[in-house]
Amino acid sequence: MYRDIFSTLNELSLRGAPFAIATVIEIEGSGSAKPGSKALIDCNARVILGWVGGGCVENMVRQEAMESIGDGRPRIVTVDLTDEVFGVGMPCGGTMKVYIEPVLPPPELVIAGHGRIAETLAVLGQITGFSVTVTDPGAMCEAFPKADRLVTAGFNSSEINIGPNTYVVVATQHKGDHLSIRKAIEGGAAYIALIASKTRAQLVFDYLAAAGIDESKLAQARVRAPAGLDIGAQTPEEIALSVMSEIVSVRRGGSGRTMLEAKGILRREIPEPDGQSEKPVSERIAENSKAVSGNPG
Amino acid sequence: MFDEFLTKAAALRGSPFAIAIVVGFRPPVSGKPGDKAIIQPSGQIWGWIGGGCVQPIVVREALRAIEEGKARLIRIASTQNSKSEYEVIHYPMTCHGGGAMEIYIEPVLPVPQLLVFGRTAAARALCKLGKAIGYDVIVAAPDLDSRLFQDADQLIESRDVRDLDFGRETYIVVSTQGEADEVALERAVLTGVPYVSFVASRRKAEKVLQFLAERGIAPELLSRVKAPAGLDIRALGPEEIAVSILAEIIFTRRSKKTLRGDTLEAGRARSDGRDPICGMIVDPATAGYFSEYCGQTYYFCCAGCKQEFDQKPETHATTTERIKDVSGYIFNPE
Repeated sequence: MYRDIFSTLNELSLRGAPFAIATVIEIEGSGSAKPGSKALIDCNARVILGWVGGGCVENMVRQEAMESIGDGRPRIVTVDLTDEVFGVGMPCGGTMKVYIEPVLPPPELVIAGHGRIAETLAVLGQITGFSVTVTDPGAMCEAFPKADRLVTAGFNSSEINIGPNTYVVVATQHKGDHLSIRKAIEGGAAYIALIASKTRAQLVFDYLAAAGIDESKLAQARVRAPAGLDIGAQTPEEIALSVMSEIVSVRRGGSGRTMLEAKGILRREIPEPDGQSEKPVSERIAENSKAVSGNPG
Repeated sequence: MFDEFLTKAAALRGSPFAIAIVVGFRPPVSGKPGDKAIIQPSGQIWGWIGGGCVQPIVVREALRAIEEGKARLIRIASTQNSKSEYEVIHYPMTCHGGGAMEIYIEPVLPVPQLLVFGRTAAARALCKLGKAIGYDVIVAAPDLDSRLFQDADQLIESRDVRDLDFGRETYIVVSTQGEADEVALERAVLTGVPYVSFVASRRKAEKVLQFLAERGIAPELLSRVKAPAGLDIRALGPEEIAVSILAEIIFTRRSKKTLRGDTLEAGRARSDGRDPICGMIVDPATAGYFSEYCGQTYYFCCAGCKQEFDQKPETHATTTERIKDVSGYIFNPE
C-alpha cells in the first residue's frame, strides 16, 4: 500500500498536477478505516488511490481535500460518526480525525530580460522553490545556471504560458514590455512586476489603458511599478531581493512591515540589573566579552 | 601605471576607498585624461589627478562618495558652463586661469558581512540567499556539516567569533533554534553591531532576552535585538524566512541615512522634531518629552501630547508602509 502511494505520488507530482493526501490519524470507536489509512484525491475531488472510509466520511474528506487544494493549506478534519443530526450521520459511532495535505505544483517565476537583476532573481527564485523560466533573446545559460528553463524566443512566444500560478517579472530594459505585460494580465498572472524607469512604465500604462484588454482582467491586474518592497534597495542584487520579498508577501498575504511592527512590539522593556546602570554600554561590552571568554565555544 | 593602480586597489579590498579618474580636461591643467587616484577614508591619496586646488576638492568629494555610496562626476572650471548638466557637481577653479577638468569619482565599498549563528535549515537558506545577493557569509556553529554550507565564505566550528573583524558592515542572525540559543545570542549582541536578529517566536525571544539580562548583559544591547526577525511577508518555510530577514537587513542597511534625516518620511519626522500630535516644532536636543516607537524617536511639546501618542502610537506614528503605494497603477476601466 505504502509503495503504491509513493509511486503514485511521485508520478502525480512529476506531472505537475495538484492533489491532496488524506491520512487517518485517530479513530475513536468503530470505523472502517484505521490510523494510517491514506487516500490520494485529485483536484476534481476524485479518489485516485487508497481508502479513508466509505460513504459520508469519504464525501467529507473529498470536499475538504478540494478546499485544501484551493487554499494551499493543510488541515485536520474531525468526522463525528455519532451525530446523526449535525454530523455526517454515520451509525457506526465514534469519531475520526483525518489529516489532509495539499501537494501543489511549484509556482512559476517567469523573468523576462537579462542583466544582474534578472540573474539574481533567477537564483533567489530557485532557492525559494519556484520553477524559474528566463525569457530573453540574449539570455545565455552561463548567466542563468539555476534557471529551470531558458526561452530565447521571447516572452510573447507560445513557449511561455501564463496562469494564476505564474509570477511575472519584466526586466528587459528594452522595447516590447507593453506586450509582455499585456500577455501577463490576460493570462491572469498572480503577480506582475515591471522594472523600468518612470517614463517607460508610464508609456506601458498608457498603452494598456488604450489596448482594449478584457475589462475584468484589467480591473483585477495590479502591475507593480516600481517593483519590490520599499526597503531602500540600491544595488541590482538588493533590488532582486526586494522583488522576491514582494512576491512572497503577495503570495502569502503579508503586510511588508517589520515583524516587530506587525506584532505590535513597540519597545521591549528589559529590566536594568542592579549596580550596572551607571556604566556606558561600551565598557559593558568590553567587560562582558571578558566574562564570556571563559565559556566553552 | 594602470596595473600598479589595480594592484593597489586589490590590496585595499575589504576596506572602503574611492577611485578618481580624470575623464575630461581643457588646458592649462596638470591632470590628464586617464590620470587616476585612490582616496582612503583618512583622506590619504594615492596616485595623481592634478595638483593645486584640484586635490582637496577631489578628496572632499571622494569622502562624500564613500559616505553616500554613490558615484559622481565633478567639473572644476574657472567659469561655470552656461548650461549645467544633470547631476554634474561644479567647482570653481581657483588656482588656474582658463583650464577645466572633469573627474569621475566612484566609491569602492566592502561587501557587507552576514554572520549566521546556527546550523539549522534557516541558517542554510540564509547562507545560500546571502551569497546570492553578494554578501560575505560567515556561519558559526559547533559540529557544522560543511557540505551543507558550501556557499559560505567562512565556517567557524564554534560560537566563538571574537577573532572576526566587526569594523566592516556586519549583520548578525542567530538561527540556532534550540542549540545553545543563549550563548549564541549573547555572543552576537556583545559584538556591538547594530543589526542582530533572533529567529524565534516572540515568547521564546522574551525568555532568552530575560535570561541574558539577568546574566548582566546591557539592556540597551538586548532591547534592539530583532525578534521575531524579518519583514512580515508571512514567510513559510526556511527559504522564505531567509528572504524576509535579508529584506530587513537591506532595510536596516539603507535606512542609516533616514536616521540622519535624509530621505524617508520616517527620517523627516525624526529630524525636524515635529510633535506628531499638535504639530509644534520641538528641538530634539532640548525636548523634555519623547517616546520611541518602532525604532524611531518622537518628540513632544508637553506631557499631554506624549500621553496621547503613547496610548495609540500606531495612529500617530509616521511608520512607512513598505509595500509601495501603487494605487495609481490599479487599472480601473472607469
